[in-house]
Amino acid sequence: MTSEHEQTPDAPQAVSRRSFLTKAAGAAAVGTTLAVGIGLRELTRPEPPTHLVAHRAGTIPLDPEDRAWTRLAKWPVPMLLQNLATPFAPELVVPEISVRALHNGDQIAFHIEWEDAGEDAIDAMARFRDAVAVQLPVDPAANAAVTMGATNQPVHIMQWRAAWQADVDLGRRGVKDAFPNMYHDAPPEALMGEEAARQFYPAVVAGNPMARRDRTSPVDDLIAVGFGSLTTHEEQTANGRGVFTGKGWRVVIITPLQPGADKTRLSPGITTSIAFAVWNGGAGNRGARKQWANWSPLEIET
Amino acid sequence: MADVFNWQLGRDMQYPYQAERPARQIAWIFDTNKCIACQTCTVACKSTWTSGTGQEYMLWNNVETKPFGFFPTGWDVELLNLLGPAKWEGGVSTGNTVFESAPAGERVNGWLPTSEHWAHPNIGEDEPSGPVERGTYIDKLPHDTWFSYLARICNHCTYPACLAACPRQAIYKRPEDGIVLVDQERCRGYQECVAACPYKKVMFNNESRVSEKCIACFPKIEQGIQPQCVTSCIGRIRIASFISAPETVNPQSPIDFLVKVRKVALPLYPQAGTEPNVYYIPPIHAPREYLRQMFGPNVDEAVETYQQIAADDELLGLMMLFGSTERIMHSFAVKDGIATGYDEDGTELVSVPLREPTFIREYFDEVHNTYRQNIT
Repeated sequence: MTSEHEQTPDAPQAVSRRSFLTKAAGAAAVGTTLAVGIGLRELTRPEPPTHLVAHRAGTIPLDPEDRAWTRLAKWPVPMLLQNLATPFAPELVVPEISVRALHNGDQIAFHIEWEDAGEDAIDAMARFRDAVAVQLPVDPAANAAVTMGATNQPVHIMQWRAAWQADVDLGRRGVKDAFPNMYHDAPPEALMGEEAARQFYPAVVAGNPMARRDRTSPVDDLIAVGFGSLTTHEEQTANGRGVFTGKGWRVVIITPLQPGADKTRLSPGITTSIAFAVWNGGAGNRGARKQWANWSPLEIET
Repeated sequence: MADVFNWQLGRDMQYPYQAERPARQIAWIFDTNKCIACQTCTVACKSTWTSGTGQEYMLWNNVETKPFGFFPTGWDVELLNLLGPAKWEGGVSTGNTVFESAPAGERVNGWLPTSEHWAHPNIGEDEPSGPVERGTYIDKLPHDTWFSYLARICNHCTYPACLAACPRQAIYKRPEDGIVLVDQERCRGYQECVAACPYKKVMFNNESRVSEKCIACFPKIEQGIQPQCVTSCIGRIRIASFISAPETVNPQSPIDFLVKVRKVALPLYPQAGTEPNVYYIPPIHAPREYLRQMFGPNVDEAVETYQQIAADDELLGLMMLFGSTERIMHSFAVKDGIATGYDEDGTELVSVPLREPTFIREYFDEVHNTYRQNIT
């Protein structure tokens, strides 16, 4: 039997399991052994969830390939081309993502996967990175505008970028990674040392998160009150991990349920809203050139 | 979209933001006839601002050879392909700007150069427009076979396409001097500005992952000193000062005098609609048709005025003041064969003679019984 739907005592799939038992019994009554064998594989697939449920778990694995994630039912989210604000991409290139969610009372995590033929993890001239983002209303009970929030309707966005994942996994990526054969005869670092050479990098001195050299998380916490207002939060609490499978991305984004001021504070038992955005860097997606999904309910199991 | 007045087009045009002209606008004049493409400006800029890792390919200032040189490769060809041939009727542009011709989903009609486009900064250097046959003797203007140099920096446009394209308003135009800057704290590296700029003068830093551009040496300008590319120019082809608003003409201002009074200095590809603030005295030896394509319909008048410079003391005097002082010259006057430049307070910065005293020696040196190579 496939391990994808394997049950364990902790597994948050009681409904699906009951469904399996009922249907399996029916199938066994009419089928041959072989047919039942095939039927079981089909029938053990849980019913597609009607909305996203963050199931309670003991621990939440950061690894998106962990079985604690892959055995969970996927919640499919159809994506739309963002075409309310300019600029927008000419065509939809990521039609669907699949989401799973877990929480453990302290943290909540989202497992997002989508198909992508190529891994785009380099951030360089005319080259863009794959990325995905989760959006929550800062006030979980409020109806914030899906358009990255609005005045007095702030949203908390957590964005994972493939280039940031490469920074975390391999060390800060730079021009040498984008252009391995480049030659720079006298970079300032070699002439005056790292600290003095900082003055040659205005974005570094200005504290721009794009230029961060000490990244430990591939996910940024951001706040927005409408298109174009995206701002990196001063206190970074989100983490994550993304893996390119050869056919697409599997990404985990994890955040404390209580991440601090001006960010979304969640608790078990509530239902709030969640929205998503996804970018295919190879297709030129970046910024507003993206796929997005409208708000959907997010139920956090007690 | 708002209706804004673009004096270079002679009409209102569509722009994403309301017109808000700065208190004063920094502007440059480049005399292409004096440029020898020594690239001293390029090196001065490069060594001052873009010697960091990730900036290797960046030339905020570059000098390219027309017709076959460009940085990035083909930037002007691509622009002309996007906009189509310029259309002018009675000095009014009737074609669409990069804003008015933006396709659905775009703020600006632009294109994004790849690393290959940026890889050949000296492509076409010193290449003439065609083969020079054996025995060719060039004895008239414009030349049949020609090339000319085009020095380029950010135009610090009145209606910047980079600013219009940024979806998060990370590019701003300073109200005090019109300098256009990328906010290094706010930029998220989308490169929309790189794609939008018709002149391709915003560049992506491969190390910092944000866009960067010519900053008009604002720390110098704030102290009343001209930018590095101007003060380093050994050919004295450049001047930087302030241009008055379109409805105002100050004949004592060096920029106003050249742009609005004598009208010898013209914007580059004005039909793009950004109202660039670098003005060029066109190369008089290049074919007029080509020059009209580059600088608009007023080329003939500009070239003819420039060719009469020997009889025009004011124009000659101002051209002699180019490169004569590091300070920003706010006004100038020509009197009794002397041209004088003044700072903002009216204090004299420099005086130069319109004609250098010369002594011409005999071609044959009888004392040493030889011919002289240099007789002036």
